[in-house]
Amino acid sequence: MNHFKFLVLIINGVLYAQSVTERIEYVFPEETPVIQCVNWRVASGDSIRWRLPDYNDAHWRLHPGFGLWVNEGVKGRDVRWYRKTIFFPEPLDSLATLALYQIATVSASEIYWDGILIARSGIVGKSREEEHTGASGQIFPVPKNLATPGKHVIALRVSNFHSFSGVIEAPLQLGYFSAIHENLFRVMALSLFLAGVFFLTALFHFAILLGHGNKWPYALFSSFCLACAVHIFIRGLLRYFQINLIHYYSLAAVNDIPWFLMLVLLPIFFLFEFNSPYKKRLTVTILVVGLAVVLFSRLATFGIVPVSWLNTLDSANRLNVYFTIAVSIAVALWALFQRMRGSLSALIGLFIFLIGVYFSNRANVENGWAIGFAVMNMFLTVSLSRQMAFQNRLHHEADLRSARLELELLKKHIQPHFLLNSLNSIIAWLEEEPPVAAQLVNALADELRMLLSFSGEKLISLTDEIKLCKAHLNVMSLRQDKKFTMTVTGVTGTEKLPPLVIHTLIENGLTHGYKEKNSGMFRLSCVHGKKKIQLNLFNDSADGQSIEGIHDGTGYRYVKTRLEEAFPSSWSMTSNPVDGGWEVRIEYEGAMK
Amino acid sequence: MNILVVEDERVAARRLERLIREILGDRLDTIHCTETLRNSEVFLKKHSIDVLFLDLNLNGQDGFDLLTSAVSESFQTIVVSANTDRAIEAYEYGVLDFVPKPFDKSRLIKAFERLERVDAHLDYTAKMLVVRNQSRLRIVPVEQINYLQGAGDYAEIHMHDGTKLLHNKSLEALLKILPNTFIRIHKSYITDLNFIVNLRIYGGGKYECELKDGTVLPVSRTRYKKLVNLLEPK
Repeated sequence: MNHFKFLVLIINGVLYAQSVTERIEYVFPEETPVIQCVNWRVASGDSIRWRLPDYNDAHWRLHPGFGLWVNEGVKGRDVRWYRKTIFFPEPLDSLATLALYQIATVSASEIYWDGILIARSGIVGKSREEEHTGASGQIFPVPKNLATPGKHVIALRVSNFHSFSGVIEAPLQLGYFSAIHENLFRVMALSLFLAGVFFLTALFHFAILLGHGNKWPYALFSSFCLACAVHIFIRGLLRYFQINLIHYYSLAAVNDIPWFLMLVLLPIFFLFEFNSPYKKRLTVTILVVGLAVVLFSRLATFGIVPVSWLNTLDSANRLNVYFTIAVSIAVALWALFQRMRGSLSALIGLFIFLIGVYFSNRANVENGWAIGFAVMNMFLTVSLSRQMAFQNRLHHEADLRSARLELELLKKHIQPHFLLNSLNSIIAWLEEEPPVAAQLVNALADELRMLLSFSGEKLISLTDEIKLCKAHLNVMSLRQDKKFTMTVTGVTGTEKLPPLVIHTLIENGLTHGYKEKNSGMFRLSCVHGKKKIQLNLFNDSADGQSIEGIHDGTGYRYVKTRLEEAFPSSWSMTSNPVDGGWEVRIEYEGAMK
Repeated sequence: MNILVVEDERVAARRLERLIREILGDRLDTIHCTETLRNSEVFLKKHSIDVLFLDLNLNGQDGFDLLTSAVSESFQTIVVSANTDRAIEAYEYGVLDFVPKPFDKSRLIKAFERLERVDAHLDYTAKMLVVRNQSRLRIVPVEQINYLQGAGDYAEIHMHDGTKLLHNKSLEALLKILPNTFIRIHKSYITDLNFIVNLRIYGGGKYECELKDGTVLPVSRTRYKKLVNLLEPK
């Protein structure tokens, strides 16, 4: 386990150090079925006498029994003895087996019980050649004849020539075999369960990413979950499986990578998901700080960075955890004030995570932080799902709106009323002047062809729109036996706009402005600004007569909806009487492709 | 016969006028075409007409505004429109006929037949009568009418609640647009067949019928036999 990262142990270390002087003896069984053997006497060097129960170790240094050797200001490469006394006031359970459990104790270790060697992990040696590395996660039974009532001395002879720093991951544990085993099983089951939760969430968000290609923050969250899963899984492995200690320390070092990713991906995900200000600068900061702290800490345990920095780096690690949580909470708070969807569940999740960290520190709850993570994860998943559902609904609504617009457009212009009136006029012309009837049929066909080809488009070129308008004016001229014309200025041919916008305005003009006139003139002028395109449609309608209500008519509503759809919030339309007629002015940002 | 055509499309108006002239020949006294709603109102203030041909898609404004006003007048209204989806609605308001565009001459002839024949039954009939009361228009649902009494060129509508309203149309004109259960029982009376509860014969060729609410109306001799035939199956 990465001792320096897990606040649990750092805090525990402090707590044990405080109680070291108070009690040297251990009483078994205590209130807990498994006791953590802290408060040892320690000495560097090697002597066969140090195993004996009656050896006086009072002058030896006090030691919690775990931690980094290099952190104690001594060399990592060393042979050492640890001694402690325990006391059994009563005979032990004759059917149960007493056992000792050590997670990972430097490179090699021997355990003496009242001077008798009862366990060995690897071979303790005075040099790299003599020493053979042991394994992690070993449970050693204490022979029944030795576990008698009264005082006992446990002596630990350890050597470290294969790992640089010399680390005892956790205090030696003493208890009945079944209780130790049960504890380990509980830790492993929880680790696997949590790893599974994170792994599935990672898969879930990855699947979402595949389904919604443009939601790349989901990739961050998916990676975050995957990092959590891997980190917790490796932690579980290290606890439960007997792994050669050389590999054990390498694996622990490798586990820095998911840990680093966990720390950085969460705040970065929040930054991008909620599109917070300064997100790029903050991302770089988080990455640099995270990488520096994790990398330097690990390098220090290998002596590449001065070992004396370790205490500072420990604090930096702790601060870094809080820094990433703080950034995440700040972003979520900001998002909440912006009333962003999902910000509340994110915030609640983060606070639950914070509580998890707090409990795992204070109450020494194994994996408490991971449980906090899992709960937060659940909240975030719920929040993301809700956002996704919301976006799906928006998409769906937009699709529906588009479909409805197209339908309305077709209905409006190819509706029976338009066709039937045209047919009626064709009959009239057939009876009066057949050649004109043929002209009208052709004009109608022109207009219908264009209507059918434009109606499905979101944007068409202004040139096409003008062609359509002219075709329509042609039809209406023949239908009403009047002369409607259209002149165009300033059109370059690059302008785009939603279909039938000008057409609809012309139709409105025809309906409202030419009751008693024999001819009509429409003038479209196009003005290119820096960013914007301005279209002015003038008509010389009769008397600028009251056109009240037409601004809310279906025609105007259609134009407004289409403009908003194509140029969200970056268009305007005014409609006013002017000298000699009526003018509609449309402005929009024409930079759109 | 005096006719007004309200049609905003000049070509269509021209054809309608030509066809009407062909159909009616000498029977046509005057025909006038207007393009706008406003002009038709002005014309109607000065001239009396027998039939109004009305394009329901009147310049985008709701043609029903004019329709409501038109059906309250003494003349019959025939709608000529491409908006066939509003045909039934137009009938319910009490138009005599709805000629869907595009139409041919024979359809127009049929419309005139409905106008001129007494016993022409319509597929769709009025569900309401629009009564002009000074300048206000009042819509009277048909089922609230007890009986109608002729009063010169006008008709008095007697309602179930006892109120009386004066309609600009004559009894003949109203009979054409009312549901088929409304029948003429007397030169001056129309009532719903379903309201008649009793028929009485007095000496000297005097006949009467009693309605559900106790009202007694005179029945003419010629119409008595018809009435007996109609009521017999009950």
